[in-house]
Amino acid sequence: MALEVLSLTFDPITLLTILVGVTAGISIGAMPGLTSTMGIALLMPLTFAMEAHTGMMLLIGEFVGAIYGGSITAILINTPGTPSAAATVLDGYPFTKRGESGRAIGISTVASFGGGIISGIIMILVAPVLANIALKFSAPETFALAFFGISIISSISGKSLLKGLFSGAIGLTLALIGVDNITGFTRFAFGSTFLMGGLAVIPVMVGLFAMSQCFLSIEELEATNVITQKIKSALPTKQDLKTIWPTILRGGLTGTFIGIIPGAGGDISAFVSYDMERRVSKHPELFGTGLPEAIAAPESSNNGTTGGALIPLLTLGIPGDSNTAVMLGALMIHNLIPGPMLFVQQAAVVDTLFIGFMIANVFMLILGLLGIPLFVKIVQVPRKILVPVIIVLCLVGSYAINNNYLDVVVMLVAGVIGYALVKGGFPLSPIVLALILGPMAEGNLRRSLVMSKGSVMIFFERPISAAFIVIAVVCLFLPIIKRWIVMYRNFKKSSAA
Amino acid sequence: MREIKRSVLILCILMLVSVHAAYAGGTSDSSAASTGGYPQNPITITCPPAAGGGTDLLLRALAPVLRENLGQNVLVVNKPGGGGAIGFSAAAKDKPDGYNIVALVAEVLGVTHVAEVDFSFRDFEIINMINATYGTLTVNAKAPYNTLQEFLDYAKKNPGTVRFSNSGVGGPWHILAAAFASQAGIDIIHIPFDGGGPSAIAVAGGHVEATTASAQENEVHIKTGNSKLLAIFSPERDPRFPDVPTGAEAGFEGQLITVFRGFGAPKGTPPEIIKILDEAIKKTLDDPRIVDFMAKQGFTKDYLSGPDFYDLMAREDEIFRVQSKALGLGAK
Repeated sequence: MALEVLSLTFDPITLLTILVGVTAGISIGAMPGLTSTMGIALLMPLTFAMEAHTGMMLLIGEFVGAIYGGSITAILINTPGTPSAAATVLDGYPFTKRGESGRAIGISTVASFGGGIISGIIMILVAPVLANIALKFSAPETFALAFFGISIISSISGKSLLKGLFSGAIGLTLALIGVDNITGFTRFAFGSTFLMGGLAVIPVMVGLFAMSQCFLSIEELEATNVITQKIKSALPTKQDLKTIWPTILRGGLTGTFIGIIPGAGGDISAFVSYDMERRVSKHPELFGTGLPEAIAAPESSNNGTTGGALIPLLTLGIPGDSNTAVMLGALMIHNLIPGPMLFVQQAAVVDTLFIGFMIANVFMLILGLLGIPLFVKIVQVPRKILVPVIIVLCLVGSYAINNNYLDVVVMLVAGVIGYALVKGGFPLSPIVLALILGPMAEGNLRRSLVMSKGSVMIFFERPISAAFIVIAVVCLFLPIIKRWIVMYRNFKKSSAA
Repeated sequence: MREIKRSVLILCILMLVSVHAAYAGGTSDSSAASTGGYPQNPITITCPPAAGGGTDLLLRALAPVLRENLGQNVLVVNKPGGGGAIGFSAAAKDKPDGYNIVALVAEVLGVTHVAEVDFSFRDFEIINMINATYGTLTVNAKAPYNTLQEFLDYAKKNPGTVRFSNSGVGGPWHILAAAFASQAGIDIIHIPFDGGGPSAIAVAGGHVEATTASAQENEVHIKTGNSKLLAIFSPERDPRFPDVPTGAEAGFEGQLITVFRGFGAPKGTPPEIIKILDEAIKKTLDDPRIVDFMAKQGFTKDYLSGPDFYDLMAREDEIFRVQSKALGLGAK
């Protein structure tokens, strides 16, 4: 048995497939507009002709690589390569502005690796026990999670909370466009079939971040890159590692947990971990200025979801996110029917997948660290060349997501609006967060109320949903309560004196 | 600077000329098509569902074999969004030259009764149907009822409390549940989810009482022991679940909803081209590689000719119309 697993995993073809998967994943993830899910869907037909374990390893490798790859563009050109990297932009790009992009990618690589390995260990040790969480999650729990997620806007608003809330409101409004999924009523579509489907997150995100950044760069097109990027060593320093290891642990665990939840993936977990890190930090005011732990948190967390999402997929056939939803099809075609019996009947294949998942993470670490000097060169390309190239990538990426020209128009409009918002000092991340979580919160709120025949008690009677709502409320009011305590102490001091 | 301007101008002219040349080439090819040289260009299949779903999987498996049979490359292009509306709307406006075809899936009926759209199944030349899936009555494994009749008795004793999850508002499983409830005389609550997968999970997790989602969508949960299948609303028993009765066998003589997969082309595509495509697709379905693929992935082969497929859609479109109206869905 053990020998069979080893011979399956360390077969040169399997190893090569994992390497190809991870490399493809990193490239797909780094391209704005191409997502990990899309990559899996495109690679899947190739796996039909492969052995079951080899085919699955290609997809798992792509998954692991793409979730990491998104951070490269987030750090270098202020554009999340995938929605999972949207939180990495916040502190990643300030590193590049300081000339420390190599350091930032090093941190991101190590954190992604750490998050992936943590989730892998949890997957291997306690998969069947944890998987049942996925069955306990339904509309009320998902609403409560989204509600908690939206409360994170206060953490990612930057200098002005008011401007952050304004951005969040824009995102929630955009999320309303399209056919409402409970009554089937069309909202804000103005008779257009395209708008009936609602706005896709990718074109809006690419426009807001990448296109607006291009417009900003055009302003100083003639300026040569004053900041030279120093790459002393690709490996993060001992000091950095010491700062980020507790973060990686927290991020990896949070990511794994959120990964298990059906329908919640790396995009949400990254924001949740960023928020959590800011709350436990001794210097929360420095978040957004380029802190190592502020990159490590979202990156360890989004790679934590990779193992997390595979847990319910393998044990229950319930995909933990959109990537694993596509993988379910690939499992079935290879006659690997998920469930407890899979671990008994196909134990060798399952163990191979587990070990392969770990190997994929190791490959990702090696490729990431080796690639840093190459990635960093991107920033040294003169703006006159870099900006047009990025614009072309934005156009191609937003077209490729749905093969629809109108998505390109959405991207361009989002770019212009994004530019105006940046000029006005409005943060962009809350828009993306609200656009991702808005439909999730609204749909599940209404679905829950249909389930409970209109009673809001459904959110408080169910333990997981009640817990999330309590956490969200506490997080929202904690700063105010803290201020009261400080005021009370000061009052006591002054009255004592 | 002036030199740059001039070279840019020359480049623009060159591009315009080449685009026109390509366009002219395209038109002459398509006119040749109607005279018998078809196909001379790659054929694009518009797939309204997103990449990675069941329809996409099937199309991408068929494409290479279809390519051998037609002697031209076959490309699958996903145009997802709006419950299929975006893809169908775009496909209906494609050039009817035989180089653009579309995967006709059941959403082509449902979405037209929920939202204002600019197409219906009548806007396509129908090529054929290749696969059909039927709804089920699937309940949580721990539920007290074990047959369709016991379920109906339970639902009649507890009116207005039995919750049915479906794959989306106005979609085939929603309409099937509505038709089932009205014919069986039970009062149920409909809960739309985002897709058949999530609606099957809701039953497996015990969050709702039942779902009408297909056997394929529920299969994994039935095998893990979280859900049980009481009946399949199909004309004949499903070979993968030989012990599960059809709706009619279980005592429910009612309307069927077919979740079909087939092909269509924009209105005006010449009938002789439709015939060539039909033959090529039929041949593809008999290819051993495709037979093997479909068996492994749980797709049954249910071939219907163009006219028969049209009649099926016309019949079921009426069920969608009546039930959507009764449910008070959408803008219509």
